[in-house]
Amino acid sequence: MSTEITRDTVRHYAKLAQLSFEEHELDTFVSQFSAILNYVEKISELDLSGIEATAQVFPWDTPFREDEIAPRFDQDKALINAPDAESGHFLVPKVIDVKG
Amino acid sequence: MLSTLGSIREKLGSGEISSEELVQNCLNTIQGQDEKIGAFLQVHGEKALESAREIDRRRQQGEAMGALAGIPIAIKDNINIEGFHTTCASRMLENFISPYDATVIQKLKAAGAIFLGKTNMDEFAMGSSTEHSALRKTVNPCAPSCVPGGSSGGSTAAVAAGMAPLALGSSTGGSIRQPAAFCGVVGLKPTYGRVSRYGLVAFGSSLDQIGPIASDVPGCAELLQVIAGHDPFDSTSAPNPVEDFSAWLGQPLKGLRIGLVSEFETEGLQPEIQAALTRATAFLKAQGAECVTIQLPHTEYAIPTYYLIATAEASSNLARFDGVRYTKRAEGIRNLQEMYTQSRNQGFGMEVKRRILLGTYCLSSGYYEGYYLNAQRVRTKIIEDYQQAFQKCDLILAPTTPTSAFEIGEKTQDPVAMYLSDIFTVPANLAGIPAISFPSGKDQKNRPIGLQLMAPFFGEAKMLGVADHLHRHFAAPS
Repeated sequence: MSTEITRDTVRHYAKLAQLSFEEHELDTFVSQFSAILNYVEKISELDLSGIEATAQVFPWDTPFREDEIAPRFDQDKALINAPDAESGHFLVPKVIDVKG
Repeated sequence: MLSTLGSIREKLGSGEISSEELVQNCLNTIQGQDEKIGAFLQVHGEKALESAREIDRRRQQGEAMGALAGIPIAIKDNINIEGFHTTCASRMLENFISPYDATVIQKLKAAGAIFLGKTNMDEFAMGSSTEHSALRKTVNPCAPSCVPGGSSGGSTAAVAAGMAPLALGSSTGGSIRQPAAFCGVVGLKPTYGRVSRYGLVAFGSSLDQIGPIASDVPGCAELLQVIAGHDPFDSTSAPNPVEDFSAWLGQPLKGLRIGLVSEFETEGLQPEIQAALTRATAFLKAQGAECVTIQLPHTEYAIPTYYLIATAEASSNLARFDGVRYTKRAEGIRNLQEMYTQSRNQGFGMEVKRRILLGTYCLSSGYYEGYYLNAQRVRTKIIEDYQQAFQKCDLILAPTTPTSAFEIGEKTQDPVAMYLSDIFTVPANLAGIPAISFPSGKDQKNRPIGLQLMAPFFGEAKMLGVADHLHRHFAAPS
């Protein structure tokens, strides 16, 4: 089921997960990642046709409630950990490159 | 000899000791020992003393007291206490201040408990030795060259070293029981949904549970009593009434059926742990319990299944740490994309990156069915194994870990070897059932051994009753 894990595979999935690795980290990662995948591959030994998947062991249906406003904490408090904020909003860098 | 919750409360009630003195004793022990042990990431000394004085004042005035009034407790650093740091032992959250209390913290406050501080852990609870903490090294108080286990290694080390009589940990695959076994204390993972996860930083949401750690079983039962219950802020918290977790303490064992797992008799089980299991079985039989062999045929698939499901859920849960709202943001970035990547790169340690990568891989197009969906199907088989096993027995008795505490550095370079130290604990998390580890003697190197009991859904009370008998049997001079 698995494909061979190369430096490019790791780079590709790292990009999907918004991670990146230094060149010197890549080799360790490739070998450890291959070992882990090789190990989890074990589940493919089983015949799983017709078996229902368990996403949640919780035996009850998801409970619903009325959509009522119930404030927990205010805007100022919500922003106490913001790396950057302005006028009650989170501030992020421009999506397009900042030149110079 | 560690103080038990019962003995401490007796002294508080009789006035032999005040809560302030009790807290001061804990702070003194922390000050004297924690430089060496490294259990705590932060100590809230002033606040703890202030709260203790308030409890003492109320007690003197004869006010009604909560179940844990004036009792100090240590909290794993992935559980939010308003106004204090919650770091998850990660650079990512080094400066994060909790804007709210986790539900378990609200319940503990209402019961009068005093928070000593926040304990070390593997970063984002990903690990089995606390060596993946980005902030501090923790050593095992019972075996200083060894790891305390993990991921709740700071909490179990704090209790084992007498720095706190009680602690909270969290378990995704064994993170309470495994370090409890390594440190010689009692640790319980409740039924999934028994304790609210609101305010616990999420790792694997379908597996995570907060649970109690104490020096004895009744202490664990009482702490669980305080933190359990339905919470409208956690839609997976169980709506059924909370039972009396102390109801089975001291009850006779006659007629109980205890299951022994044939698949757990594997190569690699340390001989002294096998001997502890044999001793426990002999004791149970002598008390009139019946021991039956049961099968959990999918045991060998539990760890691979766990690592696929837990990492998939983690890769999704940890997407929120992106440098926008509450985490460190990388310096010198030129655009939004770089902010995400660089903040995550600098904030996460290697084990966290490994797991996010594995989770992303097994959720990605082309691999989703073969890995993630099939892992969920194996999870069904594991649940069915337990359902069938509990037709034949009331509780399952097993080793908590295949070996006692391992040496610091022994497994850090080999992730799969590290993962395998959770082989006996992971299945209960996958099945959602409760399980408790209790001290069961020591090995030849004088390192603690833990055995565990597992119960069907919401079977905590009976499980605690039997665990207490066994713990007392092992603690008694033989």
